[in-house]
Amino acid sequence: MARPMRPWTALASAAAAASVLLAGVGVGAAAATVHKQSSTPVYGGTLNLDTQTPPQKLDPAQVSDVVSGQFNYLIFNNLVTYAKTTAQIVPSLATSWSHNAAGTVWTFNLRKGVTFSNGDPFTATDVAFTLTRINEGVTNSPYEFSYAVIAGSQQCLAQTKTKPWPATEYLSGIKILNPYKIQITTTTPEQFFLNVLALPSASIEDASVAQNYFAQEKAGKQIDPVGTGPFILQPAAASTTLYVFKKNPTYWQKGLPYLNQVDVHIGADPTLQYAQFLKGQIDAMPTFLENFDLAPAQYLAMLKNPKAKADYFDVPDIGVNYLGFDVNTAPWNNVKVRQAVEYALNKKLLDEVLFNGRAPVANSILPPGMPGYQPNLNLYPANYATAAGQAAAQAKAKALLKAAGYPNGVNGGTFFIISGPGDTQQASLVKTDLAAVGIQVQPRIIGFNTFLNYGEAKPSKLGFYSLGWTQDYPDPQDFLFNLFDGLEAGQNNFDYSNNPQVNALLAKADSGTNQALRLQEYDQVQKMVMQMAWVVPFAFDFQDGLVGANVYPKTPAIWAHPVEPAELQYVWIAK
Amino acid sequence: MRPEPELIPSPGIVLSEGLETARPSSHLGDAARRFVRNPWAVAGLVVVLALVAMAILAPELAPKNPDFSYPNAVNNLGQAVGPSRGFPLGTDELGRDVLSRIIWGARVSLEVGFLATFLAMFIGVCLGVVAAYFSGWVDQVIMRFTDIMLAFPFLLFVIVVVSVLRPSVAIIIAVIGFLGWAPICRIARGQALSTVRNEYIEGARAVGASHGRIMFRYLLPNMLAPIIVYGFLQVSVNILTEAALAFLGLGAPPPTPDWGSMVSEGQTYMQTMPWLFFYPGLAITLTVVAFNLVGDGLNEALNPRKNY
Repeated sequence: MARPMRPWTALASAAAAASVLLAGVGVGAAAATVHKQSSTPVYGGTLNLDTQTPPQKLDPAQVSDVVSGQFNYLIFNNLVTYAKTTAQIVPSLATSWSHNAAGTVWTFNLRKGVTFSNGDPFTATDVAFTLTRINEGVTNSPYEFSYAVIAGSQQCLAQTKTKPWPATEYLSGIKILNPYKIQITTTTPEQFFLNVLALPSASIEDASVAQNYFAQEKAGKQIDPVGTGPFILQPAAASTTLYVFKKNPTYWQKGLPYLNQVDVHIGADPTLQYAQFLKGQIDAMPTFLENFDLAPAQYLAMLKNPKAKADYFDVPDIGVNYLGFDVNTAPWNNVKVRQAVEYALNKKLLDEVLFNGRAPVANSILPPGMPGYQPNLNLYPANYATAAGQAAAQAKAKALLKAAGYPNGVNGGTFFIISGPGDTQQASLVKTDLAAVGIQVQPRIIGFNTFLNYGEAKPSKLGFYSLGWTQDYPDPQDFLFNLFDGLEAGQNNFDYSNNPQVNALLAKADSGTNQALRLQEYDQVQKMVMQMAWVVPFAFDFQDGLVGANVYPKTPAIWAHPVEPAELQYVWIAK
Repeated sequence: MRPEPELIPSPGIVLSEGLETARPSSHLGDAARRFVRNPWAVAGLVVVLALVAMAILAPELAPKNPDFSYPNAVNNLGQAVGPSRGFPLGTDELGRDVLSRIIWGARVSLEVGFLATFLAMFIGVCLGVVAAYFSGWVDQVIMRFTDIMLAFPFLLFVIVVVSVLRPSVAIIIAVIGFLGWAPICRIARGQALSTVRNEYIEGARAVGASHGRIMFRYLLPNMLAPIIVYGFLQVSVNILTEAALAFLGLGAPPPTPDWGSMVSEGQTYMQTMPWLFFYPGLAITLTVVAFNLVGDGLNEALNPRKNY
C-alpha cells in the first residue's frame, strides 16, 4: 500500500545482506540481536503504543493507510491469512478450499462456531456481502480493482454508481452453497487470488452491520467496525487521542489473545515516542503500527544507549522509496528530463542522511525479497562516492537536459513531500541535487491526506513528488500493476502513466498461470518502466524498532511481518 | 524684577513642562554622548553592526557554500563530523558546513527583523498620527480597529496565517508587518496627541499648511525618539518571531539557511550532534540581546531620567 517515504532503514552491512539472501519472504532472524525468550505466555495486561497519525478509515473497504491497516488487522479476520512468521497463506475464517483445474472456480469451507463481536454468527452470507460491497461503485474503494477478477464485478460496478444493491443481492460469481460453504468464480485464473483475499479490504464484515456503512459514511458519521478479530475497538470516547482495544472473549483462535487490552495513543512524534519508550510509558516503538522506523536521530542515540540497543530489532522490509512524476505535464513529460533526475540524484547521500544507510540503494522497482527482484538492473549508473564520479553523473544529466531542449536549465515546479521525519532533509537534498544540474524545484511539505487529494484531483496537482510503496502481498503484480497500470491512474498510480504496451503485458501476466512466464513478463515491464524513468527509485526499505524488555515474543516477524501489520494477538507481557 | 518676555513658540520646541518628550534636534549631540558613555549600549551596537556586515558580506565571509553537502562529512551511518579542522562549527546532518549556514542565516533573520518592523512601524505611525491629528470619528474608528488588532494573540495569529499561505520570507515579513502595527499605533498616537494640541499647530493651519505638511513636518519629528527606541526593541522581537515560525516549520523553505529551522532540525539530534542546535541558538540569543541593549541604550540616551 502507499505510504510516505520511509525515513529509516535497517542496518546497512552484512546483516541486511545476509537476511536478504535468506529465502526472500522469510524473516532474517540472523539480522536481529539475540534475546532471552520468555517460555510461557502470560495472560493479561495492557500494551501501550503510540502513533503519530490517527487512522484515516475504519471501514475495511476504504483502508489504504498503514495505521488503518493495523487497526483493521486487530478487529477483523479474512478468509485466509498469512502464517505467523512467513508470507505463506494459511486458513483463517475459511478452513479449507479447492479450485477447479482451470483455476477459475474456488470453493471455500467456512469455519463453524465463529461469532462477531456483537454476537451475530459468522456465515457465508457475511462473506458474500463483503465481497459484493467492495465491488459496488458507491463504496468507491481504492482497492476495487483487486476484486475486478470476480465474475459479475463489472456489472455490479456499473449498476451501483449511485445506490448500493440490496443487502441480499450478490455478484453473479458468488454462490452460497450452504451457510458454511461458498463458491467464487473468477473471470480469468489468478495465481495470487488467495493473496487478494488476505488484503485488509477483504476482511469479513458483519452483513447486518455493514449494510449501514454506505448511509453512515454519506452522512459523515463514523462507522462501527464489527469483526471476528482478536480485539474489539471500544466506542470512541470524546477524545480522539486514545483508541482502546479490548480482548475479544469469544475469539475463535483458542488461547488467543494473551493481552487484555491495547491502548493506542495518538499524536506523539518519533522523538517523543523514543523518550516515552525509554521511560517505559509505551511498550514498543516506533509503532510497528505505523510502519515507521527509528528516526536517524533516534537510531544514532540508540546506538549509544546499551539498554535501548538491547531492545532493538531490524529486518529488511519489502518496499521501495521513489521520486515520481506526472508524466503528462511539462517538463516531466519529456523522458530525457526524467532520466536527468536519475543521474542528478545523489542516492548514496540520501540513503545515509534519511536512513543511516540502513536501506539498500534502489535502482529498480521490485525490492529484494520480492519474486522478480533484479539486483543487476541499473540503467543509470552513477558513482557519487567520489568527486570525479559525481562530476561525471552531473555532466550526463546536463547533457540530457540539453538534448531535451533545456540547455539553460528548466523550472520543474513544486516538489511535494509528505510531512514526516526527514521531510526537510529530503527537500533540501533533492532541491540542491537538481539545482546543481539546472533543474529548479520548490519543495513543499504537505500532509498525507492533502497529498492524496492532490493526486486524485483531475488534473493531478502532483507534478513531481516523493512517495513509497510497501508490499501488500508477495507478487510483482502488487507493485507493477498498482503503480503503473493505466487503470490505476488516480488511485495508486499517481504518475498517470498509461502505456498500451505496458498495460497489455500487465494484463497478460496478471492472469497467467505459468509462474516462470509471468516473472519474465513482469521483468519486461520493470525494464520498460525504468527505461522510461516514470519514477526514480532511490532506496528500498527496512523495518526496525524497539520492543520493551518485558514484552514477548521477541521474534522480529511478529512485530515486522513481511506482509501483515504487528500481530498483537501473539504478544504477551511478562510479569 | 521684570518678567521674562514670553517666548514665541517655534516648531520643534514643546513647552509643556513635566512631560518627557523628545528634545529638539540641537540636543542630538547630547544624546549621542550619553549613548557612547554606556558600555552595554556600545557593545550591543558593535554586535548589531557586525551582524549587519555579516549578513551583507555573507558570500565573501562564509568559508564554504552553505547548501553544499560535503561527501564524507556524513559517515555511512549518518553521523556528521563535529567542530574540527575544516569545519569550525561542524557539519549538519546533511554534511553542510554549520558556520557558513549561520553566516548566511543572518540574512533571513535581519531581513525579517528590519523589514517586518519597518512595515509595522510605517502602518502604525501613519495610522497613529492620522488618528491624533484628525481626532473625532477618524480617531474613534482607528482606535477601535487598533483595539481589535491588539486583542488577537499575535503569535497564534501569525502562525495560522503563515501556515495557510505558503511560507516564504516575503510572506513572513508581510504577515508580521500587517498584523503587528497595533502597539506602535497606540504609542504614536499618544506621542502625537501631546504635540497636536499646541497653538502653533493651529497657527500653521491658519497660515495654510496642508494636513500632510503639518503631520510630517511638525508632529513626526517630536515622536522620533520613542519610535526609534520602540523600533529597535521590536526588531529583536520580530527576529524571535521568525525563529519561532521557522522552528515550527513555517519559515523560509529548505534549503535556505535559517537559524530557527537549524535549531528545529538540530534539536532531534541533541544527544548525538549537539552542535547542530547549539550554535544557531547562540546566534539567535546574541542577536536578540544585542538589539535589546541598543534599544535600551537609545532609550536612556534620548529620554534621560531627570535627577531632581
